[in-house]
Amino acid sequence: MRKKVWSVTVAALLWLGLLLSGCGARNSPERIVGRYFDAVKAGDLEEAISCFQPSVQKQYQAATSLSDSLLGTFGLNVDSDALLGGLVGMVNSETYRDYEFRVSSVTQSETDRATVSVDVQMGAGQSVTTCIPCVCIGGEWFIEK
Amino acid sequence: MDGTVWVVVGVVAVVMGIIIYFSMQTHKKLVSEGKIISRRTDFMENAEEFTLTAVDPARVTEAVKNMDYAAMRTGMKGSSEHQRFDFTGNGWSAQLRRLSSDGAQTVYRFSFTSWKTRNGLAQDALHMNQLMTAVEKLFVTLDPNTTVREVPLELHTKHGILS
Repeated sequence: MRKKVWSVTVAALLWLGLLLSGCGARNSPERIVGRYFDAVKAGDLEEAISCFQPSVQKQYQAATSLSDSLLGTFGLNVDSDALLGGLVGMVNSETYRDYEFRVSSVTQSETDRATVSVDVQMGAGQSVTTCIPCVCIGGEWFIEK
Repeated sequence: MDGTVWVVVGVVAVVMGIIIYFSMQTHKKLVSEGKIISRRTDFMENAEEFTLTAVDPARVTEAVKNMDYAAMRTGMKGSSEHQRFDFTGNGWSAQLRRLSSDGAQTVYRFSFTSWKTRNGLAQDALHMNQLMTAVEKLFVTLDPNTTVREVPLELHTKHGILS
């Protein structure tokens, strides 16, 4: 009896450990993509950028700070928006406020990689489909760029 | 001093050898799994036009949606209505669109629209190859008698100061 309780406890602890350390413990591909589109709709650039993998976030910050220095010193403008495929323009645009984003499927091809398909309703019966690759880094899902 | 130099050269050579070996192994594995095809290094300089029997656009859209974007590290945005799909990878982009459809046959065109190079070679050729292979498979699955025509692209090169 004692041995059984011990085994169950160890199994429960292992399961909890796996849950907390593995991908999906803190979020999921579906949730990070949902957060991203909510941020785009709300015009929240910082929040939208935080959905991308850490290396892209760092590159964007570095490009922005370089852009600021060059603009201040030489009047040169570095297009840091290009790094995120026009995200800054997208977030600042009013166009996306009324769009409806709906996750239609999530396909996980590897333990740390997944594709989230999103249907975007643009009004007037127009719609587009977008497939977004996601990657799990350190137990957390991000949009891969 | 001379000895140290030779040790450093040796270590660099071994590390490069290991990297090349694993890169070749990855390439071989992907070829054997049918995920890529061994192509010329400048394969992205040609568009591909697929001619197949008339196909329901919804089937093409569904097949495009079902490609493994996570494995290809690629994003996709497309319109089922316009039959146009834009792909974005790491430093490159591509497009698949319907050119014509006359009830008897349909023509789709796939081409890379931009890519970054390093030493004259596309930086992310592996994932570009994966996408092209996936698109080719898609049409052959929809119609085994699909014909493919290669069309050379008109290339324009851009040099960035900071890239």
